[in-house]
Amino acid sequence: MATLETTEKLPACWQEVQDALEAGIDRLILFGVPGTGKTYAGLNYGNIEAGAYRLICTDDMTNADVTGCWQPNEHGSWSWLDGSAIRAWKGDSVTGGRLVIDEIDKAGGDVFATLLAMTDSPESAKWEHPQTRQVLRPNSGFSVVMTTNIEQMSELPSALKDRFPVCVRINEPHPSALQRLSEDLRDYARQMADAGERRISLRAFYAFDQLRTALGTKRAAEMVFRDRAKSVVDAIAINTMTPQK
Amino acid sequence: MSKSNDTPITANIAQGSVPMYPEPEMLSRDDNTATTESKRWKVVNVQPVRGEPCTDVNNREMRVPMYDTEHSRHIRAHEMTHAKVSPTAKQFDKWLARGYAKAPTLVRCEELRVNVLVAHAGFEPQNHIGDGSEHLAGKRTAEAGDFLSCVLDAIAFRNTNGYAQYLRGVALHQPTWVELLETISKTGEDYYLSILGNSRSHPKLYDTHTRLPLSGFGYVENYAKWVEQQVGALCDNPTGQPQPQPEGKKGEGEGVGEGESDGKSATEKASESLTHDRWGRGTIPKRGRDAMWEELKVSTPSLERNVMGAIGRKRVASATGRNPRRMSRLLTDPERRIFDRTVKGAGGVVLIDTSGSMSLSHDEVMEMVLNAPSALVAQYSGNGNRPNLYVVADKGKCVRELPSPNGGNGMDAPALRWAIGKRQRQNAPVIWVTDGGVTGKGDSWQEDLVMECVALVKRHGIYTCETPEQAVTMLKAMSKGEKVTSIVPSHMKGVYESVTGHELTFR
Repeated sequence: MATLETTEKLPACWQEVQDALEAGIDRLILFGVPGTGKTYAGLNYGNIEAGAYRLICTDDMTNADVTGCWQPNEHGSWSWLDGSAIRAWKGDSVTGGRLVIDEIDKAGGDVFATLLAMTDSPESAKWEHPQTRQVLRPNSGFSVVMTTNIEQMSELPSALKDRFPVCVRINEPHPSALQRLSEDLRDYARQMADAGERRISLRAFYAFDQLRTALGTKRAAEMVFRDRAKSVVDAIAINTMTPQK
Repeated sequence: MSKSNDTPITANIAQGSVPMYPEPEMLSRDDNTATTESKRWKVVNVQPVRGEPCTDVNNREMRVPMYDTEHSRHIRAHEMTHAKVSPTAKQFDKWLARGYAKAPTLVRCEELRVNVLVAHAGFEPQNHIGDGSEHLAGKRTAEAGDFLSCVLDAIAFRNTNGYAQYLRGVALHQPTWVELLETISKTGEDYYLSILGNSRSHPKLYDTHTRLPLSGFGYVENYAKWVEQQVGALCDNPTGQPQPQPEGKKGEGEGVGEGESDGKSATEKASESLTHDRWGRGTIPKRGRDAMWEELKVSTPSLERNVMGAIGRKRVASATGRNPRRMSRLLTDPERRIFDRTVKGAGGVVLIDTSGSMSLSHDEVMEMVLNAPSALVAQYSGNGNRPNLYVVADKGKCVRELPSPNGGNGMDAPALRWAIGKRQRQNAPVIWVTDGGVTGKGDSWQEDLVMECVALVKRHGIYTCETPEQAVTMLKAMSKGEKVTSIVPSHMKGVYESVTGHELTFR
């Protein structure tokens, strides 16, 4: 079982995720600011030996992405291609896999209704295969992690919240994601991840980190942070009590 | 560090320009949690005029101008540095409660620390911070003769563009103050720079911590304490302003506070006492100055013996009155004083230091007791579990046997405060017989303790003398109504001179 272990002590939010997954919780919502590693955690942590399948919700997506669709084959006929949810149900045929649903709040009405059915409790969830007429149920071990960037859980429909009683607000990047940054930038990335309107994403710090080695701090800041470049550089100078070049 | 709840004078950013928000969320402190959803900073755009920009570390509110100019940028850097290093309101109250310096002094000395740190971080406050109001402020404060405010303002303006302007304003009315202000503020700047330049300094000048001794604000406290001692020594006269030294003591410079033969002013000499090593953090108790003293344990043994000729009240013959009680004097007294008049004793309190360094004998103490008619006499000596202050005479009566002293000091200032509180009248004299070997808990020694006693003696006009003989002479002179002058204990004098650079004189 993959865990969230790092050399550092886990922040409270990530500790909750780890505890929930280790305790066998199979329905989990991770919400909060983007760029903190919610999807990565869903795809990699906990029991994912039977595979992890990602579903990115958009306004235009259809149930084909969820349950599957017919598509032409090499014999000139049509064959059924399972969607992410069905593949996760099946897992490795013995054990169910992990379904990671990104941006659940962006799904349209049809898809949302299907997702509710697919993520229902194992006793209620079933789906009939259009080709074989076989009634499928999720294999044991099937788990779902939903992620969303909404800040308040009250914005999610109650039917969804009812299926996912454990919700964790992720307010800082996972330590292992921060490890990719130079040490002197990790605190800034961590603190700015949850700075509201003045948030700076972890990805921006990755770019800044890479650019500054070649171009220097000020030039790199101008390219990445634009209007905020001066303020960011000044803040680093004051925080480190060291002039920036 | 400070926050005003008034409505800020907000600024409007020109159309097309982008407001330059500071980034306080990027700052980290050891004593404050990082930004979270519930603890985000509120940043308000205000005009770049003195008094408007401010930072409230507690409530995470920062008021700064957001213009894209170097002036506004430096104000933002100044406030960001406050957000980075200045104590929270709760911490500031704790520093204040330690009793080493007053709030206005601490605030101004913190301004200087921030300006020094801003420059250290690569900014140029000496070129960009200032709003042009400093000249007028200096002129008006000097015109009012407010030396303390001038000192504090000079410290706050030091290392900014407004500092020179401020001194020019002061010079219009008090030209002799300028050099003093320069020396006092420069001492602070040099002190902070010496800490920054010393890689072994612990804590660092910019450190923050929930444990006060590990915070860089301790250096601000040290400097503020020194400033108050300096101003106290310079203004130790009825005018409350720094006075020129006597002619005979003047050196080459003729300014106020100068007067040493080596060309250094007293304040310059005293600046040498403000060094990092000397004011080591470890020696100051966390709870502050009061924690340095032993607890006062007062004992009042039974006072059974009458002091000869020294009762608290007595009646003497008078030529006028209501009831003629001395009719025989009609015949015997040429002045016919047949009435009575009540004479009150001089009263007063005599506090005798009976620590080991005083080496007082039983007879010497008793001699003082017997020469203190109608006074309350107490002896004190700490360093033990027994009572450390004994009342040995009061209202014309004294103990038969003097209690043996404990040997140490430990509670000189608390004993002095007790004596001041025991005065029979506001103008009743307090005489402190001591060699000035002031010590604290466990007989530990520190200059702060001596300086606290000096401040008490000065503030309450306490008479001091070193030996029993001097005390007896003083008591006899007092009983005759003659004017007496304190004899300053040599040890106390030495400490005071090394700390302030000035000579110590008492009433």
